[in-house]
Amino acid sequence: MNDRPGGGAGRGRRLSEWWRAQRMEAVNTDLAPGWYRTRARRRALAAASVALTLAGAAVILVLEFADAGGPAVWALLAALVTVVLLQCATFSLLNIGTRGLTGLPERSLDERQLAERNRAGSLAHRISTVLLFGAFLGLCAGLAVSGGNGTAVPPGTAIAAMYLLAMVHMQLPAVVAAWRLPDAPVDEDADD
Amino acid sequence: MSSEAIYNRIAVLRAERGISRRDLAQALGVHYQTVGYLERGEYSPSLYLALRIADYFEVPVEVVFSLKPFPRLGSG
Repeated sequence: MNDRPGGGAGRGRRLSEWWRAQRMEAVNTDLAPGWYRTRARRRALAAASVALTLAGAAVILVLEFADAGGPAVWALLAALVTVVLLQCATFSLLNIGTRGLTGLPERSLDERQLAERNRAGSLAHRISTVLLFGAFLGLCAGLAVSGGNGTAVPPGTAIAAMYLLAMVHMQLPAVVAAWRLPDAPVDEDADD
Repeated sequence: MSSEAIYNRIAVLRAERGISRRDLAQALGVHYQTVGYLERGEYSPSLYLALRIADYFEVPVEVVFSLKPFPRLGSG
């Protein structure tokens, strides 16, 4: 183990602390408070996040039927990139709106935030379980219909389903937290 | 409020002493929004945090927290 000051472990620890401080500052800096200050706005963002996830999966699904190399493919790829970029922006706003509740490491959160994070995580886990089980049943049903010859699920459909599940798994805790949080107390010390 | 509501006088004590939410939050090591949620009764603190809040204001914990609503000023 390298515990010398300035050694590899020390540098790693400093870098980790620096990164944690940057993230703390990022989620506590109000870049666009109008987008997430109220519960209604946060819920709208959460709904937009879900809608964008579905839109991304739909574009991937449609891509399968587009002519390879044709203009439709490029248009769909542009649409996919746009959707993903919008999703990144929405996810960032959700993180700021919840003050990093589901994104920051535990040691950066206080007891109320940890309790809220646990509730959001628990609910998101239950929803993810239902979706995963639904995907599993869908796959089984597809295989049963095709007689188990392995061609039941087209590749595009499989990729769209995996994209959907991965996005849901990644974003759902933040979406649930944003949906649940009550209106934040007025920041009486803010400059504005 | 639910039957498990815990009432508190954090806002009163803070105002009396001219302490900002952020200052109190910093002293307690919690997010400033947590102080706001505590004051609004939307979050009940752990025993540890409740004792630390009382300690910060240098009063017994029952001066800050109660299972019954605190009497309003002037209500006898």
